[in-house]
Parts: sequence; structure tokens; C-alpha cells
Amino acid sequence: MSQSIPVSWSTVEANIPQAPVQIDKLPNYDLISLCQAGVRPERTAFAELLRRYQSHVDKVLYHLAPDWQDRADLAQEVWIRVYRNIKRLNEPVKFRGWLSRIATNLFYDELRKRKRVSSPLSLDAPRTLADGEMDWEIAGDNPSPDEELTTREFYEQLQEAIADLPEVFRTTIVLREIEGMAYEDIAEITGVSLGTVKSRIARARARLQSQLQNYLDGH
Amino acid sequence: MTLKFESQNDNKPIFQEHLSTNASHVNQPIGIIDMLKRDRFELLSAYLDGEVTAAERRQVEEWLANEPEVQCLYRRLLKLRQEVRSLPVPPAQQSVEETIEQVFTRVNRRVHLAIIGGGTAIAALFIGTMSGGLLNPQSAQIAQAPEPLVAPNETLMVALNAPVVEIPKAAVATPENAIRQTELRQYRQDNVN
Repeated sequence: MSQSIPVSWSTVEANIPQAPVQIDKLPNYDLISLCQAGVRPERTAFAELLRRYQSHVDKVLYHLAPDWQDRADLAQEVWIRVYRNIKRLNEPVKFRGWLSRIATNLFYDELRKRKRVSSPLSLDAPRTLADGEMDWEIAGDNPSPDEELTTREFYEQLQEAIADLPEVFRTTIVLREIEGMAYEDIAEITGVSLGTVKSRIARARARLQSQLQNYLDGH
Repeated sequence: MTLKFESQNDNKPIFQEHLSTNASHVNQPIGIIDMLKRDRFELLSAYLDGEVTAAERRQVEEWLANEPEVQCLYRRLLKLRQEVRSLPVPPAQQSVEETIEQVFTRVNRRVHLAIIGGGTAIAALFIGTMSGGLLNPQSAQIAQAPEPLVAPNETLMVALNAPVVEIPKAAVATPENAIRQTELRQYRQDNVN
């Protein structure tokens, strides 16, 4: 008995200082599994997870809600939901998609709240056109064919063109292109039919490519 | 090129109309969209996402093999996708370390609230149970003989001339009224004894 006690103590002491050093070198899969262990995620592991994926959350929220000034609060709420529910994620390899989904659901929850609050007569309200109301052939302010766009200028134009899409088209194309969601998932999350998703994505692309085709063809 | 694309068209009369009205705009930048029928563009777009049936895929691949316009449009859509995905995101409104700090502050606050709330509920439940079941001899009698459930209360109510609080009809040990019941019972006992 007296011999076994110092052995077990030395083992514990040897393990403690190694843990923080290794955490930032853990592969994503192991890190996620570690966050799923225990009653609640351990702080060091969860903080590392947040560090690795925060840019993804920022990106998703930015594209979904480019003009919201409180995206930082939303991002915090995303991570609180992750913290509480990470144990429910069955396959750690699907963490990124799961995280996108949490951010998207939160965005829609918030959007619904804000729509209820905002006055329907407000001239500032974003255009929420029905599907039939966005033409396929909308002529934008196209640059003349000989105009050369720098990459930065192009991104500004692309940004502007995306922001200028009616809301349902913008969010649908973001779910597809930024989050890589399948049509079925987009239909479920936006509460429309598969056909509507297909049509919205196509129309958003039609408009973007017609507005930016000089650059798209030239590079 | 319009005609060539159209020659692949099977049974799409609407496209014919579209073609006749837009043929003069072929050289305009947005001409291709004008020329393409909606469902064709939709199909190409869905193909890009891998959201087509086997038959649709064969159809699109046939266009891609034979139609320079479709090839051009497809290249453009691929480029658009690539650029949308690599769009720069403005700097975050809050640093990562700040976010971590805030998240843990909020999580811990919620956990503390839950512990306090849960603890209060458990304590109330415990007090309610103890006062309603184990410590109260009247309740013990009720447990043995359910029939006089109302009678002891009525007797007590008679004994109490001026109850300080409203007497509940049944002793329910919910967190909201458990404490009040405990006080009440204590009051009753004090007065009876």
C-alpha cells in the first residue's frame, strides 16, 4: 500500500503539465472528441476549438447578415449553443457543417424576431420579394467591356452585387456557396420546396454572372 | 451560336418565343441569359451543385460537349463560385480571445443561475416533502387513511380564526408555494399546540 501511493502521485504530476502544451497540436477530430468528453467541455479544449473555427462562424454570419452591427453577439450565442450541445454531435467529422447549421438557425431565429419588430411600412426594410419578382435578366451597372477590374475592385463589386440581391436569394446562395449545404437541407432550413431552392439559386447566379461577366470571362 | 444552342432544344416552345424576341441582343453582355431558357439555366446551375438526376446529368454533359455557349456559361459559373467562396470577410467585430472570455462568462453565469435555480427548487421540494409527508403527523395520518383528506384541513381552518395567508385546498409541494405552505403549517401547528 505504502509503495503504490507515490507511484500514482508521480503519474498524475507527470500528466498535468503536458495537457495544455498538446491541446493546440491536437487534430480537429481529437479536439472535438475531447470537448465532448465529461459533463461539460473543458475550458482549454473548448477555447482552442473556438479559436480554430471562429473565422468560419464570422464568415457565415457576415454573408448571411452583412449589415447587422451585432454579429459579435450572435457569434457568442453560436458558441454557447455549441458548448451546450456538442455532446449531441454524433460524428465529430461533421462538426463544421453542424456549426454552420447552428449559426444559420440562430440567424433565422433572429431574423424572424427583427421582422416582427420592424414596421411593415418602413421604407428602410429590406426588399423581400416573392420568387416571381426577381427577373432573370436584370441589367446591372456593368462595366464597359474594355474596363479592367483589379481583384480588389472585383471583390467590391461582387460584394455589392450579393448584398443587392433580394434577401431570400442572398441567403439561399450563401447557404449553398459559403456553407456548402445540399438543396434538401436548404429547403428544410428556409421552409420552401426543393424546386424553389433550385430556382432561387439559379436566379441568384444568373443575376450575379450577368453583372460581373466581364471579369468572370477575363480572368 | 444561338441557333446552335437552340438546335439541341427538344420540346421547349417557350424558348422559341424567347429566342425570336431576343435574337437581336446576341452581342449584348447579358445576351446569353436572354437566350437561355430558365429551366436550362436552372439545370446547369443544379448540375454545378451535383443536384441532378442521372438523365439530367447526361443531358447537361451533352450540352457541355457540344455547345460553346453552355461551356462559356459553365466556366463563368465555376469562376463565380470560386470567387464567392474566396470573398474576403471584413475583420471580426470582436477578437477571438474576447469572444472566448465573453462566452465563458455567459456560460458560467447561466450555469450558476441554473444551480441556484435548481438548488432552490430542490430545497423547496425537500421542505415541501418533509413538511407534507414525514414531519407532519397530520399528513402521516392522511397517508394511512386517504378518506379524510379534506376533513383535517377543514378542522384546522376552523381552528385558525385569521389565517395570515390564503390556505391552499390541497397540499401540493411545488416550488412556488412550498415555502408558503411550510410557513402556514408551522403557523397552524403553533396555534394548535
